[in-house]
Amino acid sequence: MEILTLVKANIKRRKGAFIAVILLTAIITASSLSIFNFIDSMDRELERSFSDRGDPTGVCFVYNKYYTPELEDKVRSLDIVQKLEVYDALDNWYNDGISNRVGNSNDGNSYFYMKLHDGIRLINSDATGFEDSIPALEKGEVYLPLGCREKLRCKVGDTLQTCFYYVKYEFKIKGFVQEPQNGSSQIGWKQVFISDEDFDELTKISAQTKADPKYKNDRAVQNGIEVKVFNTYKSPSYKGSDAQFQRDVNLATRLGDLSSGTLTKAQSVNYSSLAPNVLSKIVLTFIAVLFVVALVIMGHSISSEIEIDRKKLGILKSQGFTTRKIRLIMQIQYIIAMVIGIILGIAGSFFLSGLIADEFADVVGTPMSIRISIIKAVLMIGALVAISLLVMAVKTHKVTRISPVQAITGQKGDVYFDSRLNMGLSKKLLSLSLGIRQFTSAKRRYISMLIISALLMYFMVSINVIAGLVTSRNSLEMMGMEATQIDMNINNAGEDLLTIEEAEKRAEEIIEKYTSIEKKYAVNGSYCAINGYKIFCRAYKYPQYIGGVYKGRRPRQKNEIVITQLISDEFGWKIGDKVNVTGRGGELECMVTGIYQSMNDAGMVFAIPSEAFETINPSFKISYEGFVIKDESKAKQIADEIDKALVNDKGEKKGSCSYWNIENDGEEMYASEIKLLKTIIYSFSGVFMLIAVVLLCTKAFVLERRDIGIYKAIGFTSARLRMSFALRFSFVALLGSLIGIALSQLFTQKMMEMLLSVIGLCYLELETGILDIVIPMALLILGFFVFALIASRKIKRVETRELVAE
Amino acid sequence: MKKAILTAKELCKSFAHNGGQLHIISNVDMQLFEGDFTVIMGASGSGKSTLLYALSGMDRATSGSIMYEGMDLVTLKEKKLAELRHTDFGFVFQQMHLVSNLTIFENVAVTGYLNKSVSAKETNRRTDELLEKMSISHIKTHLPSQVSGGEQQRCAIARAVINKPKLIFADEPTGALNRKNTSDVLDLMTQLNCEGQSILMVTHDVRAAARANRILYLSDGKILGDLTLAPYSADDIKSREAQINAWLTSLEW
Repeated sequence: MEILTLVKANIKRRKGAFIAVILLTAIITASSLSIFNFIDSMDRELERSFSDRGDPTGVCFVYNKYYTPELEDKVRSLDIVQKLEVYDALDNWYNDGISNRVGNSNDGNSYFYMKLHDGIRLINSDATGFEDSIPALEKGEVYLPLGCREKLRCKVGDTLQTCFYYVKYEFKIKGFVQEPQNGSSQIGWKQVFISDEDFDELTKISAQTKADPKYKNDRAVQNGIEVKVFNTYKSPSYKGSDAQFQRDVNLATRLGDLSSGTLTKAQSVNYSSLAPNVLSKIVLTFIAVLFVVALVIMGHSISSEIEIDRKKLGILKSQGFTTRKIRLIMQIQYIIAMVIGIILGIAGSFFLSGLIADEFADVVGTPMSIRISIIKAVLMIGALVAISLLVMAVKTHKVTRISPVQAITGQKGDVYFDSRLNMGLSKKLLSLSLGIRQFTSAKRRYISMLIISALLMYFMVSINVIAGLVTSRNSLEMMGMEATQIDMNINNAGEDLLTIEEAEKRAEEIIEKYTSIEKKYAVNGSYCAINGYKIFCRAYKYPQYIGGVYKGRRPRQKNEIVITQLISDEFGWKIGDKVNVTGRGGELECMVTGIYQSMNDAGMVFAIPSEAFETINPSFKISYEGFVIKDESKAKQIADEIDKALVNDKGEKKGSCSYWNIENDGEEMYASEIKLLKTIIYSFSGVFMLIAVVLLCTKAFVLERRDIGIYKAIGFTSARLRMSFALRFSFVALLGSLIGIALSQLFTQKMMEMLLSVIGLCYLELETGILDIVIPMALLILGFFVFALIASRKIKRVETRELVAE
Repeated sequence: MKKAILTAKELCKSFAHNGGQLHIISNVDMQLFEGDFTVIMGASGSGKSTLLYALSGMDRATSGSIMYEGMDLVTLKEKKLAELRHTDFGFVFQQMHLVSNLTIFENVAVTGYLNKSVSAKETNRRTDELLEKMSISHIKTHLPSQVSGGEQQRCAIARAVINKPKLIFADEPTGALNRKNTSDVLDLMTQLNCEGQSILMVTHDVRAAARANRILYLSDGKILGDLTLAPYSADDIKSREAQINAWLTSLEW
């Protein structure tokens, strides 16, 4: 009973600390559980989405040009294939700036237009679930996979523009559907659904176009747009992985070699969940750091309580309360706060998980119903409580050192100040110098504040540096991307086309009038097989500029390739190994000369000289070339001039050229994800900053009440004292910021490399801009200043009369 | 004719107590004169310190007025009161109340820094001079916790006079000191008064009161007696003490 009475009294007296612990626990519980709930729900829903579709193992897109009924028969007859579905589809064209466009958003990837078939479910209007049935499409209507909503920034009722050959078509978006194989916004190619009437009409038009003598020499038209979509289902008795299944089918039938692209279920799931997984890991790391911050705050709060309540604790001891009982009382109040925080956190996690699920529905490609991850929740909460109890046990140990007599007589400990830095007061900067003196006089009191500000700063700088990854040419090159300034595309369709060589010659002549060329990337991507495994390949005309090679060397000879670490790990190929690279038109033995990193296809990619690639894919053509020039200020002007020069002998435009402004366009690429991360990290930092400052201010206020009275007695105003208080905390924030910056320089790269290793990015080149540091530093210092100014309002209530000894 | 520097009229100070009002000071009328060393005496609980802090504006009076240079301290804004505390008034407390993390030098200088009309250099020079005068310059880099009570109180006096105040308020400045330190502190106060410094001091020690040239006797929040003494001289200390004792006896102390 006596314990309960004291616990109640303590909670009543230290409401601030009690509420702070509730808040911190609630934030940590809610955010971490939300992530766990979301990740588990995402994995479950992705599995369900495949199950809804009948659980196909892989999809292959084979142009009719390469399709034969024998190929289908061969695949169907394989023992390892349980079932095969083959659907007809039509691939769209890129023409006159349009491939798949809604409003201003254009998606240059292939969309395979096909008839609606079984297993496709219609998603409800708010993308939280499904309609009971999927209505048949009328002429001019289209169902798009959910991922298109983000890619094309569109909604139901919008008009989708596309091109088949040289003709533009429009479809009204009737709804969004679940299409598990290609439905994620993170996957380029899409399966979209149109009415049977439209499909049959387009097929007829395609046949007529190809037969039209006008297009007899048009290679692109003659290649056709008809595609067969192969859905393969592995036999239950097949025990290998999806990739191995695909490889075995390819080795037996050449299905993979003849496909333009393939995707296994494992790959689909991986691509769909990649971005949420990486972002979740970053957030979870941040939450782990916040947990450390919360422990520091809680530990500090316990120390403050012991220091402030010395007298009371001494009285309790003199009345027969044992140290153990007093420690138990202190711990119970924090446990109660934690329990309340955990309950609030669990409740909040439902709401937050739902928000995250809605945010990522387009990325995952299917609506997600959230269920609590009970095992992870129990483990997480168990760990949270256990670690907190340990900290409480350590921090309340100080109670044993309180002597009842010393405490009751109000004596301080033996040493009141740790030390004093020899830093004088300044008349001009009196408030600041007094503030700094308060800090230097009792540094230990501010260690927790320093740790907190350093950790918050570390994360704020880190997120800025991460955001900078997509706007830094060096960083992008290190990630195997082509960080060009001038991008040139030449047309593949039509007659009297420009060759890439001719376009390059013209572009170089124009560039050299203004500046010099530093790098050039003439490159194209396509799927081909290595030792039977279908892998995305980047064919470079100038392999000496392949970026991101960190082990071995770039290809110098025709039959040399570089692979990513993910491929090396997955298939066991190493530098010096010889592998068979197979295309539609042949096979080439190549040597692996290096390991590089690339963000293409989530790191499952290899690079080869285009000279070699052309020998195994005779129809392969490079239609893109990008340039890195010395003087970027001229890039826009040069790009415009090149654009005008991309005409054939008849003066017809046969290509386009544009300036890629990395500062703007790079940020645009990942705007929503980076914004979400920044919002989470900055807002959590703000809340933690507020709690830390309020708790520390309260402690400082109690300990310095007498000094405040003295300052007032000698003529200091409340405003000046509050300013000094706030400046002191700003000074601590400044020191903490500097530590945080140092930490970020030491560990951000390693942290990011660890987190991004899942997509094969093991070596990053991070660049820290001055604003990446200045903005969070200013926010932190300003935040501490403002919160301390607000928290120090109690100074107004200190009367000099408190100094009077009657 | 002496010039009044502070005038209190119908001054009252009450506190809420058990649902009612506890009157500590009741309708006090008094004047303090320039150059005087005035002492307020009275039994414990008579309201001496309360009166001192009310007169200095450290504590707000409940009613009445305290006029200082045309300003009523009872209604004066906090900012102006704070300004008065570092320009016109100086304070010496019984418990010294030095800022614990400032050195002896800084404790004095910090008050001087508040005075906008004096440069930092001049403040530092004057601080050194005062510490020399108070015989504590050798401990100027020490923290208060590292020096004796007497030295702390001398530092507090130096702090009180750093801005050359017109009036020093001292609340039992020797109350926490031993005999030797008491004597040193009183000598300093006397010396300051001899140099023209006006002082209002609260004490219940007759030896301390003997340094004053005017004594007010307070009982139950009312001034019951006002004794004027000849200027202090160390030679007639015994007779002064006897005179005060006799006067206090007549007032039924």
